[in-house]
Amino acid sequence: MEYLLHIAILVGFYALLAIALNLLVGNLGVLALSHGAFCAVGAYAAALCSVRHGAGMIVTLPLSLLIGVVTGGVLVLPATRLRGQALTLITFAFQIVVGSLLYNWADATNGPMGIPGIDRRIVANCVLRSNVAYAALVAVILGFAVRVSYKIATAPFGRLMHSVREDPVFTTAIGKSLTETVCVVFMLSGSMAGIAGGLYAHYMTFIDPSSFTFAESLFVLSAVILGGAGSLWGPVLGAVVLVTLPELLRFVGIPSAAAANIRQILYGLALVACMLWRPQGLIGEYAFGREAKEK
Amino acid sequence: MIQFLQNIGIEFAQISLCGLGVLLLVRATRAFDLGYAGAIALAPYLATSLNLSSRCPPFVAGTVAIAFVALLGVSLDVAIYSRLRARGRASSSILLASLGMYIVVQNCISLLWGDAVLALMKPPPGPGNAFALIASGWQRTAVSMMTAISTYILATLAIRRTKAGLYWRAIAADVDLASACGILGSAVIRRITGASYAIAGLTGLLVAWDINAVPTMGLTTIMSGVVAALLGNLALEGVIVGAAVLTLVRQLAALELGIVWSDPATFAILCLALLLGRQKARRFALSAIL
Repeated sequence: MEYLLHIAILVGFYALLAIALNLLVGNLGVLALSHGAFCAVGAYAAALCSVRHGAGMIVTLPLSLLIGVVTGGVLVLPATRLRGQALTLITFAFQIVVGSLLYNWADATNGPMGIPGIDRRIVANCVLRSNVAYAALVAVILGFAVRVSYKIATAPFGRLMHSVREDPVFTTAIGKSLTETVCVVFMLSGSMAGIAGGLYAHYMTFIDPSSFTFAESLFVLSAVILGGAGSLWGPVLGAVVLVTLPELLRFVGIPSAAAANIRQILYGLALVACMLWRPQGLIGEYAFGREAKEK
Repeated sequence: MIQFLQNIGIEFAQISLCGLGVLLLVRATRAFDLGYAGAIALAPYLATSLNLSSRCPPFVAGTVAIAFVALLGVSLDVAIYSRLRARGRASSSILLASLGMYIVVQNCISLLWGDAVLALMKPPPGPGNAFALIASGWQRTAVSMMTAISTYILATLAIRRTKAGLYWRAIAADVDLASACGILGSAVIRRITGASYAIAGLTGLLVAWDINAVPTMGLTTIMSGVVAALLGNLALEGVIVGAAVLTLVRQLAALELGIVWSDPATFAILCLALLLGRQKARRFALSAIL
């Protein structure tokens, strides 16, 4: 039962990250490779606040959200004039830089030793000891994220995002600001990823730089692409598939040392297969990477 | 000061080589290929395995590793990238597919050789590791610089003087017009991919020889190569200028602020290069040097 709860919490955590990334990839058409970094920033903010100042989740989770917003804004502000692969490169470089800082800036992040002793206290003496309670918290936050994502997608702002994705020139011609749209979506996406990081930190009670590498960004991206970019439930489905199916490897008898690598290889191959044969993913609405003339 | 100059020489060689390979590939395909980063990591592992297991001399082992990596690049192009191009997919689609292949290659390396640091310079127990020869700083700097310069000269001569180079320039300038003139774009791209991946393998060997190898070493190297190529306006002569500027910035950041800030300095230069646009970035890089 504890094992199933653990899987469910991980699914919730990655689904939250995938929904955050879907705002960029599926709705705005921006290929971002930095969600591992956004998650890391939120996780470390929550961890440092909890360990060094004794703050509960009622403080650290909103802080993670705020840090995510700021990080998204800081990342996109110098890149507001960029589009396409240039913007992707910036996000990629940002992920690399954050990873490097997490390992090497020991004064702030404790380097490769990580930050242990993060508790699950919500406030004062109220502690989420059981995984059932934590799973419920993750489910509530995930539900809220899904609701926000749905509201954004169906609102005029959602149509604006889709317009930017399909034809940025036309969007500019009708007087809409591409820069503002990209900024807002990055900050929104960063906020969701940040709070996911905070949840992760409090759940694991220990974080280190190896939890937020480029591989994590790729995993979340794989979940979005495999599940289906642009749809509401596609990223959630992608997270469910990518988190649960590799758990089956445990029962196949593959040594645990090799299982992690085999899992990553499967993610990579899934990404390639999607690009070759099903760019819209399992239940997606937007075929990522298709030229306009094919539609 | 001496160590600083040696570091500059070695890092300049690595970044300029990587930038050259990235430049050749990006100009031909108009897409960034992150499988290139996998090739950078794969070559030193292959070379060391050949050297240790079959007692191959290091030069032969290195050459075989580079050839294997070039073949890998051609295979990826045939199996994946050319199909995506044939279907008219956007370059972001190719980038995503290359991301997938990078993950596959990197994890294959981890699976076969483990995640521990691979020390090319340190002789392991048993048969001596011949890569540990030429161990002094100046010798490594000299060999790295000579390798980079000779590769660059060969590449320049090939592009300027040979038919293959002429085809590459045609594809890089206008792929539709080149196709209308009878130049088979897919064949040219395949050859260029092989050559670029070979350069990636050579870069990986140099990097591993300097700071040892880990399966994830390709990412930071390719980032430096991309920045150098962009700073140089994606031009052959520009990549040298871009590599020089980037190396200087990284080394000064490491010297003045600490090694932690080398990668953030690279990120800042990347933002600058992308924001200025390619021509202005190149003028900026030239003025920084002169």
